[in-house]
Formats: sequence, structure tokens, C-alpha cells
Amino acid sequence: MLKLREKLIWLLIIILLPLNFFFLETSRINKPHLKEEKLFLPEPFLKIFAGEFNGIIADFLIINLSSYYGGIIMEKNEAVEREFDYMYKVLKAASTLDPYYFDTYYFTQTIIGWDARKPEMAIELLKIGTEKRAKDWLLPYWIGFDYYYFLKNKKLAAHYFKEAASRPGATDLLVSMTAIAGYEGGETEMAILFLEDAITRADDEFKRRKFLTRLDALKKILFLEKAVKAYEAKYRKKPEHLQELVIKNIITKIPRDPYGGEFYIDNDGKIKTTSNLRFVRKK
Amino acid sequence: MLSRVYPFIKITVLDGIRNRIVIGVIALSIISCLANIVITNLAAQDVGKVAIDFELSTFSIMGLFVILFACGNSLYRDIDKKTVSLAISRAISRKEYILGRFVGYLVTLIFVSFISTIIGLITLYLIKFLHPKHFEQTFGTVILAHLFAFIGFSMLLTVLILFSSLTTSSYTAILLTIMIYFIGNSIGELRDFAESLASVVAGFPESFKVMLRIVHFIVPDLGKFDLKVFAANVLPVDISFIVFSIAYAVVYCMILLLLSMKAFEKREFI
Repeated sequence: MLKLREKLIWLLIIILLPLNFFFLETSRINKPHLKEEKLFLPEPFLKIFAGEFNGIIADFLIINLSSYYGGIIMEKNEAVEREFDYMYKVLKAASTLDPYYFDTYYFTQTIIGWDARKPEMAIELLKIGTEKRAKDWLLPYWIGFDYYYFLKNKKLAAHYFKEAASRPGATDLLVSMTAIAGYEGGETEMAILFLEDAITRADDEFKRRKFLTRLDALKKILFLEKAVKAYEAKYRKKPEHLQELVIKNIITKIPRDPYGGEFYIDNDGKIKTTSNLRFVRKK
Repeated sequence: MLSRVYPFIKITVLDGIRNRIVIGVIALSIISCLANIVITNLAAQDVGKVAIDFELSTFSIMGLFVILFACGNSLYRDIDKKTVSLAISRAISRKEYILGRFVGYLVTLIFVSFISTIIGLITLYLIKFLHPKHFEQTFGTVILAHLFAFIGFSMLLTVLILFSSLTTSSYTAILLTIMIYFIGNSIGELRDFAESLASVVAGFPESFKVMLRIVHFIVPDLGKFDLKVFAANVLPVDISFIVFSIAYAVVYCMILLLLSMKAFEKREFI
């Protein structure tokens, strides 16, 4: 009798197990997708309340941010202002909890510096890392890049490139950077070098894809810039629009912007794109 | 004296090691290490840092569990179930009882910490093998961080013993120890904040600074023994810091043990 009861219990468990699995999976699928945007304590208290677990909390904040941003990229290619602000808060909290953590600054540069186009905010956090990670050449290099490329402040850019070059392990890349910073223009070459370096560091596929798209766009801009220079050398004037380069056989066709925009020459004779290097939303 | 206390220490250690909580804690550390291997795959660049943070945090939680639950449970039997009367009615004095219990718990902690450290180091080595490009950290600082965490556990253990000698219920002693654990881990940061310009801007009065200085003196500064940030970020640890911190811990433990002996001597068991 007892054996029969035991058998019944086992049978019940065997029946319940797939049911459990089914309900678990279904409830997971049906669950509304929430992008959690948590509130943070003021900075001095954050570290006090984290106690001895400040390092691991910073790690989880950054891992969580990585998946949060990954979700946005998969879903709609670009984040919106509110989402960037939230990500900045997360990065700031992580840098308060553990100012030595490299990944915080890595995401600061890629998300806040590049994608959100908020170089001042990125520099603010990168400066914390530059001070704390005194042997790391990458962080002053990123600050230098932001000053040069986004803020057009060549003096401060040169200062940070020099700082980066003085740190152990700095690559030859900085020599090229300093050389480019020495002459007028050269922003596109600088950005190409930066991205080529960033691609070698990107471990996950979505980041690599993002960088490759940007690199492709910048290489096309560089190609057009060179064509404009060739036009100027030949006709002693700037072309009014890019089509002139094709008409005068300088180039065979205008390349396509991988972000979905169109390349054009602005009033200063610089090559720009209507996408501003962000994916054009389909209406 | 040692010949009288030794059997008592031995019983405490055997009781501790056979405790289900200790076995559970070792199992937890094995599970956490497996989780560590999975979680580090989610780290973008600094894999070594995440792995070490996770490993050392697990180690800290493990130590806290052993102190609060294994040692706390043993003290519960002694105080609440009055089994202490059996021990002190025999050949050992009350002072020897406190000393015996402390050494016994300490040896149990050494045993659990040693096993957990070995498991943790093997895991870290495996993660380093899987991600050699993103694991620049050295094992020397990791071992030092374990050692310092263990010193922190010893201090917390003396706090638990003191509260057990003072209070009538072991639960109260455990709760007070948890409170001291939180304060002890934050007190250094709190003092830094109180003495910074930010506290002046925030309008904290001068008395707040004085009060924190007093609390810092009384409560064990457990944050001092948290070297996770040094181990995870390859930061150098000053030799004088190591020496003075260890000296501070030894003196603090001695004071608390002496106070516990005094309190326990005056205690009445009905």
C-alpha cells in the first residue's frame, strides 16, 4: 500500500514537472518586457550603504547596463535621450562604487561619448578613471579623442594624448594621433584610427557591428573629403554639391551612407551626412 | 590551563565542522564558484575584476554565515538551552570557557575559510585560463584579501562572543552582531564623508564628526579588512597598512575577549 502511494507521488511529480516547465516558460514569454530604470542614492551614501560589496554591485550595474543597452540596440538601433540619461546615472553610480573598474569607462566612452554625443559628460567620468587608474593609457587617450573630435579643443586633446603616451603600454596609435592633431583638419582620420582600435577590443558581436558600421561611414566620408581636395586642386574652387565630383569624373558615384542618410557638402565645404551617423528612423 | 581547555576546543571544532550549516556553506561556495564561471562571461572587458569581486564577496558571505549561524547556533545551545552549565560546572573556569569557545570557533573558521579559498582559487585559475587576455590580476593580492577577510571574521566573532556574554538571548546577540557588521563595514566611509568638504556643504554639524570618531573607535573597522578593491584592480597594498591593520585587529580581539570574560564571570545562570 505504501509502495503504491510512493509510486503515485512519483507519478504526480513526473506529471507536474513538465507542467512546471510549461508554466515557467509561458509566464516568462508573457511577462511584459520591462526596462528597469532604478533610482540611485546620492553619491556619498551609495558607497556607505553598499558596505563591503561596492565592487560587486558596480560589476552587476555594468553587466545589467550592457544587457539593457544591448536590448535597445537589438530593438531599435539607437537609444533616446531619457535612456542615455539613465545609462549615464548607472555609469556614474558604478564609478562612485568602484572608481577603478575599467568596464565603467569603456561603456562611458562607447555609449555616452560616441552614441549619446555627450562628450562633456563622458569626459567628466573618464577623468575619475584617469586619476584612479594611473597606469592605464586608454582613459586619457579617450578624453583626448573626445576633446579633439567632438569638442574641437585641440589644446586639451594634445594635453591628454601626451598624458596617454607617457603611460606604460601606450601603443604607436598615439603617435599617429599626435601627428594628426598637429595639422588642421584630420578629424575623420582620427576617428577611423580610434574605431579600428575599438574594433580590436570589442568582444561581443553587437558592439563590433556598431563600430564596423560607423567605420564604414567614416571611410566613405574620408573618401569624399579626398575627392573634394582633388577637385579643389584641379579647379581651384570648392564643389557646391557632391554630384559635381561625379560629373567631373573625380569619383564614379557617391557612396551610400550605411546609416540611411545622404552625404552632402556643408557651407564650410565639409562632408556631412543627413543621418548625423545615427540610424535614420523609418517612418 | 591548556590541558584543561584543549578538550573543550576540540569539542567546539568537531561540533562546528560537523554542523550542517558549515557543510551547507561549503556547498554554497562550490555553487557560487560555478556561477562565477557563468557570470564572468557577461563581463565586457575586465573579466578578472568581476571574477575576483564575485569570489571574494562569496567568501565574505560564507564567513558571515558561519559566524552568525554555526557559531551563533552553538552559542544558542549554550545560553538558551543552558548547556553552558554543563561545561562550566566541570573542570574549566568561565574565562577558559570563553577562550575555548573562541579558539574552537576560530579553528572552525580557519577550516571553512581554507576550503573555500582553495575552491575560489581553483575557480579563478580556471577563469584566467578561459579568458587569459582579460585577466591581469595576480593571485598574491587575492590570497592577501582572503587573509584580511578572515581577520575581519575573527573580529566579528569576538563581537558575537561579547554580545552572547552580555545578553540573555542568543538571538539578541546575533542581531546586534549583524548591526555591528553593517556599521563596521561603513564606518570608515562614513568618517571619510564626515571629514570631507561634502559634509560641510550638506550642513552636517561638527558634533557629527566627533560622534563618528567615537563610534569608529568602539565599533570594529571591518572596512579596513576588505581588500577586494585592491585584489580586483591590481592595486599595491602598503606594508605599513598590513602591519598596523593586523596589530589593530589583534588588540581589538584581545580587548573584546577580555571584556567577554569579565561579563561572563558576572553572569548568573539559573
